[in-house]
Amino acid sequence: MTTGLIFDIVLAFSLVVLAIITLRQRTPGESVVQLMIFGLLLALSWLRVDAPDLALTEAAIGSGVTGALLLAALHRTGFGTPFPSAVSPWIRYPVTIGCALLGAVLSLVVMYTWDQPAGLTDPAYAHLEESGTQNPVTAVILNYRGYDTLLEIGVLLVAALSVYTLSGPASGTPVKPPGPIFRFYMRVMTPVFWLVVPYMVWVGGRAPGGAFQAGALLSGLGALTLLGPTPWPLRLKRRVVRWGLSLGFSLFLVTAAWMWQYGNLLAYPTEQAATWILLIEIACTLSIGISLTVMFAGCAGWLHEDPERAV
Amino acid sequence: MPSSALIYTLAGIWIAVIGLRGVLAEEHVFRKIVASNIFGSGVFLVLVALARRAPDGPPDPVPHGMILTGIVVAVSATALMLALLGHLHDTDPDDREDSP
Repeated sequence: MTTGLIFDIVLAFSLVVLAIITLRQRTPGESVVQLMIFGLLLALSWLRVDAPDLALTEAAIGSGVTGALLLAALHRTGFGTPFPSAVSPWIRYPVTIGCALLGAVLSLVVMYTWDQPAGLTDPAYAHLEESGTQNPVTAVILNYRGYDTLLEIGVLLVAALSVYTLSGPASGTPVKPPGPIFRFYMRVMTPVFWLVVPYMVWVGGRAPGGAFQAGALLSGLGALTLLGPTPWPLRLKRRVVRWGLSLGFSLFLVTAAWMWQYGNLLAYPTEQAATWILLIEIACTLSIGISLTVMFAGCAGWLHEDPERAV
Repeated sequence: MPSSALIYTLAGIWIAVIGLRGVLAEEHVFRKIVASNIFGSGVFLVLVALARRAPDGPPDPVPHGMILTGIVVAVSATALMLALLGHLHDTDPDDREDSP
């Protein structure tokens, strides 16, 4: 048995145990911290199955942004309140047994059908030359299956608008003024963020990276700024924020319609593909970053602090 | 000898099942939201491990694209659930400790 395989078994086992531990924490705050640790270890496991693109996204969005959103919501509703005692055994035991059976059946199905031929690897690589990008994952999400991504940006827009609508008059307690360590951290990190975000977008054409990772980083900067000494995003005009939110979806939609003249929605001609993909990536990065920042502010209850101006 | 991909697929299935049980059997809304995130992570782990099923050559980029999309949809859903939870907290402060 090789070292790599021992590592895989230990990591896979730890993930399952961590999932159980996360759901057995006594207070909401503890369960969020456990969930973030779980997310980071999950990202590590994705490196072991050759998915660096996804590991980056999971570490940034799945663990980082989700954790920030949950903590922001707890800032509004209270950290330490212990969970009430569990539901009646008449619900708990049948559900547990049913779920265990489901897991057993799925495991057997996977083990018995393991040697099926591998999916769409060959067709995806065969047309990589014509897709306008050298990163196969970018080719899938922005060329072959552009519809999925278009609808997904739509989902993100709808979710951000819903959060925007649901957060009524400011209800969150304002944060304490940041200390010297946080101020220093912001001074050092803000320029780094502004360098890394465009790099992430650009590198997505060849190597792991792209709009989602860059957008997540941008929202990290947004969340830090909201916590900082001058939360200037809170003073942006609503109009600016609305345009920023809808930019990615609008540009994507316009591109889809523009491609109609070549016969199909979102079927870029080969020689233009690279340009369109880069444009969409830039617009989507901005929209994803702004959407996630709005969600963070909304979950913390900081939106609409001033009726005239809000994030 | 099992491959890494098979190990992670099985782990993903059990993580998803644990998350599903949490969504169905937990009382507190916040814990249900955490459980739904674990459920989603388990499903993603199954997909990303299945993409690596062929022992050699590059992994299948199509499931990778689907998961990339899925992660963003999952975080949107979480934000929406949390906004609804906050709304519930604001409008019905008496019921917030054990809301169904």
